[in-house]
Amino acid sequence: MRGRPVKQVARIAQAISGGLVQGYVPRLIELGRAWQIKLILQHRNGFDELRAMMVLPFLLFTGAIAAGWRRHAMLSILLWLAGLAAMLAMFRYHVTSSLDLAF
Amino acid sequence: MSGRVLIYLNSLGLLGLSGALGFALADQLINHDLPCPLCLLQRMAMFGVGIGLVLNIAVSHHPRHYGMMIVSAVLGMFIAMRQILLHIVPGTGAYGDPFLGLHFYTWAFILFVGVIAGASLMLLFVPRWSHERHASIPALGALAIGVFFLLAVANVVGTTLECGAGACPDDPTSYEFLDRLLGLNNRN
Repeated sequence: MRGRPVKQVARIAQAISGGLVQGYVPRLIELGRAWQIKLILQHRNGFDELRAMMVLPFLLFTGAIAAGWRRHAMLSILLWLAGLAAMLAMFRYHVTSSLDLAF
Repeated sequence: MSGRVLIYLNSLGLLGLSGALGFALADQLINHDLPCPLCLLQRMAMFGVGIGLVLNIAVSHHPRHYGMMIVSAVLGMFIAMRQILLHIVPGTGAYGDPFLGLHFYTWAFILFVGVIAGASLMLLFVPRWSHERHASIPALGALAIGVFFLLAVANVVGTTLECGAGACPDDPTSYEFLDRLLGLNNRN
């Protein structure tokens, strides 16, 4: 007799958790994914814009010059390296057309 | 070659580089010749070269600083070459007005080749490297760095007004971000 309510509670808990796992959690994950995809699609142009921020290498190089002037050599070199990497990214972004050459 | 002479040579090199960048900026402001993305990338490479010179003047003489100059110049050379090749076929037009018979990107290519040659010669002919920090920056060096820094700030402002916090148009016709700020143009 003592075991019956415990078993019932356990059965209810199992049903709820099972329902959550089988029903709500996947639904929530699905909703989350849909929302994430929507967010990415909505802001993709914005991300592209930021990725191609042309002023960024100039900013980094200006910082490198200031650091060099203040005689912080290592900081200057690090900023120079970051500027160079940003420059390469900008070059990759802008070089899209093939050259009109024939030999 | 004494340390003092090296500092003066680097200062003169930096002033020369500032002259080239200043000329491009003056052309932009006076003739309204807006720089294209590849033109801006060449300017950036010139700033990359200049940082090596700044470190030679302000901190110490180190082969690493000449290496920085060569790496930046090689990158700048490739970008300039790309732009030359874009317009090399007759009838494909050109970007901007020529100066002394050559376009700015051709001059940039020549400048980068000169930087690589100059930095390589320095690496060859400096007999021994003293890694000691300079006691102070001479007046000519401070002037060169000051002018170079102001040019960098001017380019930050100019590029922001032209492109905002994003990509620059391939064929810019106006300061788009400034126009958007003033409500003159709605960019999608």
